[in-house]
Amino acid sequence: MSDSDGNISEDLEFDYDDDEEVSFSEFTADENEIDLVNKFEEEVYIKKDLKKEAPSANRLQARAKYKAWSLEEYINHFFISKCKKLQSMKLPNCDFDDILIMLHAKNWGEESVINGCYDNPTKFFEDCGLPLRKRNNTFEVVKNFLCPICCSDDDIQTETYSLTCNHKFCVACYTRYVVGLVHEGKLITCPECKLSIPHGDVQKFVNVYNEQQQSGSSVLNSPFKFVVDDASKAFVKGSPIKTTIDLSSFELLKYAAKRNIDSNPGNFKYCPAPDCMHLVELLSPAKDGRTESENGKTMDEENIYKVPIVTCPKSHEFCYSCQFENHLPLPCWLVKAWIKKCNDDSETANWIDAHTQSCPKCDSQIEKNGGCNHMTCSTCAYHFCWICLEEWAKHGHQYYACNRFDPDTVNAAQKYKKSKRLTLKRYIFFYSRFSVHETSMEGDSKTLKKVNEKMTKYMNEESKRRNNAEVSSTNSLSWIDVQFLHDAIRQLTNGRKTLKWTYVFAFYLSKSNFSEIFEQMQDYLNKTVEDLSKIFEEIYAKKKDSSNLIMQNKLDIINLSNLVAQRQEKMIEFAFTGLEQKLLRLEEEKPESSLEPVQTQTQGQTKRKQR
Amino acid sequence: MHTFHKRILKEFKRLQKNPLPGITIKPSETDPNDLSVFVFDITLPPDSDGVLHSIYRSDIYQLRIKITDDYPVDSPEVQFLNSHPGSKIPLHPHIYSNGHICLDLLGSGWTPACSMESILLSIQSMLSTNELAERPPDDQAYVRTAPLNPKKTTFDYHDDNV
Repeated sequence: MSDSDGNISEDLEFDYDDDEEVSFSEFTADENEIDLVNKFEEEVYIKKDLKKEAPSANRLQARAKYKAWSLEEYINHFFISKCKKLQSMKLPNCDFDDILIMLHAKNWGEESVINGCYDNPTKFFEDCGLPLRKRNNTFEVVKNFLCPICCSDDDIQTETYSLTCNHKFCVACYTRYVVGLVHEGKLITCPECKLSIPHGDVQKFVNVYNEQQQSGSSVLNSPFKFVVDDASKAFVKGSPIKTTIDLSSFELLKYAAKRNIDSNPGNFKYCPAPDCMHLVELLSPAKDGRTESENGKTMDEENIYKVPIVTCPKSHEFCYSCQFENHLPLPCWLVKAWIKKCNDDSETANWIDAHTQSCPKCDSQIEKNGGCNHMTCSTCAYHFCWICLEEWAKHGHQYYACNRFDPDTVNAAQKYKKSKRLTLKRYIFFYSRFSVHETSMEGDSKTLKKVNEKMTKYMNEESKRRNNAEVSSTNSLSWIDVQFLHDAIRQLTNGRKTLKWTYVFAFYLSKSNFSEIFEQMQDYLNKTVEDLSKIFEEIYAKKKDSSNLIMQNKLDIINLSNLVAQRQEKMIEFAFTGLEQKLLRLEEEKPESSLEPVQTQTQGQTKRKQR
Repeated sequence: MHTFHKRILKEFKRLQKNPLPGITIKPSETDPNDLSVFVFDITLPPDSDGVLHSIYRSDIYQLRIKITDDYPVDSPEVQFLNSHPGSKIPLHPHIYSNGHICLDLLGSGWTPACSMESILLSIQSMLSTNELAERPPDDQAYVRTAPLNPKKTTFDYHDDNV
């Protein structure tokens, strides 16, 4: 909006456009690289058209092509639709429930279900825990029933459940049993034999449990009445699950989906926001699920600086590759390094460093509390050696052949310590700025919440007044008029977030002419963000008539938030272009080399224990 | 009192009245009001096949079963004891020298329909079918770092041969 800013940024653009030509000879050497860049830019435009991104969208961010999934969508797409497809194939002696169980037992592989059904149906049914005769799962009330699990015969009439195998247990015990197992996401079998409980019945037990929890009485203490209504009666009696029932809300399928994603993530990742169960699938072919574990090794320079920012269905924004908040303009590997650095001071981090290692495949932190060095990651089921973190299969039958002393790694550890001490001062300087903005971000969100409340109150009063007068006065505001406030609020937090990370960027940046330009842009962004924040602060501080103040400052707020957006975008773009064309250099080494000495230390410890 | 007092009481009475061959419950170790810890003397069933050639034929081992709060939904805590003079831990490729047992029934294989009796029977059969007088390969390392409660260890059940 503001002319002056536009001019500044245009000047800057010219600056590095020139340099691109100067260093052009470097680039002609690799034409493929340029092609790649062009391709990405095409994608950017497609993406922008499709998604109609918020004004803060920028080049870097738009690079990631992705699809946001909710867990329900995942279940429908990967489980239910397969099930329906198989149902339409009219497999012999199978209803919908059976197919669902078969697919679940065979890890959702359609092929193996079809083959199993035709090759050796008897064995296949047995494998999946399906009865060979007609299913006869029954909820019934039995007189003087003695449940083999709880051995309680207090009630004259007991509600029981049994599968076709006719192993009866009381519903209370069954519920406890099912609820205890549903989290594993595997098929649940009869406690006595291998028959699988259909998904619909599992959900019924889960529902019973939830009702119990809500009514506050424990399953353990009260003999509850299990209400079998007409609909569920039909449901239980082995009639196929009605498609009208929302299968994707089944608890067991949800956990099965989680299990499926955990063991075979592909391009799927969870949204890292607390309590958010949604997923994001990356579609861009340049990056796949494995790149994270391979870190810098196989990724070319191009990819190292790419930050795929994605937004989950609940509009939580995060970086796909490191599952952290939007940390533009800083590349992921430096975020990791920075966070590690910041945490180095805390005891917890030290403890984690000394006692845990991260799984070489999925990076989950693992503590070894006993047993041999053959580790199986509980998250991704990867088998590896605790000492050398290599795949276990490589070890064969020889135990601990990886235990060889290497003086080089010890030297590297010393060097690492020395350089760490040198950068400490620098680190403190940037860290204080980083943390100041982090705390301001928290303060901002509080202020903004209050401002928002005030505005809502004001609007409510306004609408009341208007209703009373029953005259549409031209002076009063509509909700659309105050929309600017929400946008500005979002913009302020966004701007601060970027600003916060530019300090970390500056920390790793080696000094050059371009780094000075970067710092200058940082100053501009800083000033704009502070100005905007100040206006909100004033509104917040003012006790009376703050809504009028908001309206008075409307123009300023709009202008400033646009300015923040522009400067933020320019800043990120400058940082990215700078890195891409090697005008800006980030100093710190790649994560593997910086982590290495730490690992050798733990190696030493483990070795001593072992001998 | 335990929520499933009745069930535990029933199991206890059953083991007292109809003892399994080779297994004696030691009531002195059990508080009849509490019923949370049971100690058994376990030997091979005297008249079974191959008992004469077994490496365990002349030994009596002590097994302790601790009932957890969530029993029978949750499996009990089971281990061999060597606290009493003369008692020792059987030499077996799935039994660690601190008395911990690697058996799927005590972990993922447990269902509420299992009982103390089924545990005793499967441990007895574990002993009677084994011919190797050795400890698990990672015994030393495991025992040094093992938690007191065997249930806190996650075993990897990969060896079905013994």
